[in-house]
Amino acid sequence: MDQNTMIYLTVTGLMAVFIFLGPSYGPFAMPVRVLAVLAIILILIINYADFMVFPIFTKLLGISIVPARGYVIPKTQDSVIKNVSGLFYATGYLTANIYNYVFTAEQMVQGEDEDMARGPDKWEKAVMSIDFPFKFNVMTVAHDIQKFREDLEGKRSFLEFQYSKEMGSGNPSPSFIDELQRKMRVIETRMDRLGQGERPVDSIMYIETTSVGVSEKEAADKLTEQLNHLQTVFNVFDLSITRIVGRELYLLHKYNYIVPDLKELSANFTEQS
Amino acid sequence: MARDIQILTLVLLLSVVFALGVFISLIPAQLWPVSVVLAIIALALDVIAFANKFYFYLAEPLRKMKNRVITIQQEDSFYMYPSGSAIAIRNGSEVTASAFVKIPVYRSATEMTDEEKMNFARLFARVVTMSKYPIRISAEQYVINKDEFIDKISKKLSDAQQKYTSITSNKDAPRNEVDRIEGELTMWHNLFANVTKARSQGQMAFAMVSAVGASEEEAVNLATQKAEEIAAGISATLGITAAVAHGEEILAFLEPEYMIPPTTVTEMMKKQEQGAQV
Repeated sequence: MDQNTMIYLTVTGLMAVFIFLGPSYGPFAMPVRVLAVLAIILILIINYADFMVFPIFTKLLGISIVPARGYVIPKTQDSVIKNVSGLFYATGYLTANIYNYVFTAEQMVQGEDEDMARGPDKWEKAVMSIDFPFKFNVMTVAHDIQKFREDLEGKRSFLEFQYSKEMGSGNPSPSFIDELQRKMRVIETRMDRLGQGERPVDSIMYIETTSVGVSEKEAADKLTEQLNHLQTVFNVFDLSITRIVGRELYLLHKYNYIVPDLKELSANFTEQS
Repeated sequence: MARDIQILTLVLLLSVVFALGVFISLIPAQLWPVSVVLAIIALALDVIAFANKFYFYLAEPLRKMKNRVITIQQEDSFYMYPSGSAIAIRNGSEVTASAFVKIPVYRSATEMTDEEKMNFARLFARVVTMSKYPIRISAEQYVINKDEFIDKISKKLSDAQQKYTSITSNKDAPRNEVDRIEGELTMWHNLFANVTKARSQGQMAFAMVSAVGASEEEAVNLATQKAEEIAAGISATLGITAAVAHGEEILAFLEPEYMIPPTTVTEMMKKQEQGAQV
């Protein structure tokens, strides 16, 4: 969760709690408190599971979205459809984020080079079994190494200070010491990687596929088949693959034409991606 | 700009909620109905304030919704800059331009040694991390466009069909001429059937970068400059000739009908339908 989301969540949550604990509401005290609890739950749902709630909302109200001329996001919120002279093109997206992002690992993993060497083979095998169009997208931006290293050094010094303070106290907590040592190992590993010439990056990866049909339904059904096939095929890579529905669908459609800045990316992609 | 308005809206809404909260706490107990109404309003505004984080872009279009259709943008997704070197998107007083770099990779992993594969993977990782601007790198599999070829063959086929009809209607036509036209007709028939039998697929990779400017020219110049930098970096790293894409090449990365050409796919669908009927 990014810093902005935490601020949003804390402030709005506190407001709801403030009203919950508010003054006398007479005989309506219970309903008002129930509403306050519901508001807190709704805020949490919007933050953590809006990809489930938003399509339910649009389906119930029968609302479709036109992101630009010629395109429609149907009420199911699972595809972007374009009608070209009677042919319907349905585009859908899958997240494809790496489970084991090495920069957060505690130790350098053995056999990483071998894994890397298998990458091109795995890619070709995967692509060979796909007989429909798709795109594998990586949106990325590299950090400034110097600044990143300085930040890491700052964090390491702080952890070392905490460690020596805890050790110097009369009764050091073993669990706290373990936690500090673990954090220090992660930082050491990151610094080793920087020393080997790796650059830290922020990235979002996703897969996009398009199907075609003579009706919206045919195109949408084929799209689901294609997405299921891609999900199976790309499982050989260590990826977290989920179909994207709801709000993020519009954003990915927009990012087809504009590469967003980092702030916009981190503000819009949370749990699902 | 939109982001500033979004934050301002959040601050305003939360200020109102906070003010209502304080006001409610000052209301005497005997005026509880006022407290209840204000508490409900405050809770609704609080939820709206949080929803503003994710759904701000829908607020204005939702207000103008017609027939249960929310129109976010009435114009096309983008327009091609006249020089064809970038696409542009106007957003209020700002213009965002995006330029594309073709990344031609011709070697297959099957022809690489283990060391070459590892080097390729390393170099590719370096390409992904080399840009100081946000970039998108994509590998695309697409249906090869046979529209023009199919159109040509179907025209030839209908010409041959016409010739055959007119020659067979003439009872005095020489036998060898009838045979020749019949042969030609069969040839075009077979060619047409083979071309539309299976879809041929191609692959390409590209990088995309965007820039914002106060005018179209400024944004496009910035975007193409960034794209040229990226193309030079990719060329040097991978030892290939990456170049900035132009015109239709850009559309091939963006538009679904370029990814799956209409005539090619329609003919294939007809063929599949015929196959299913047989």
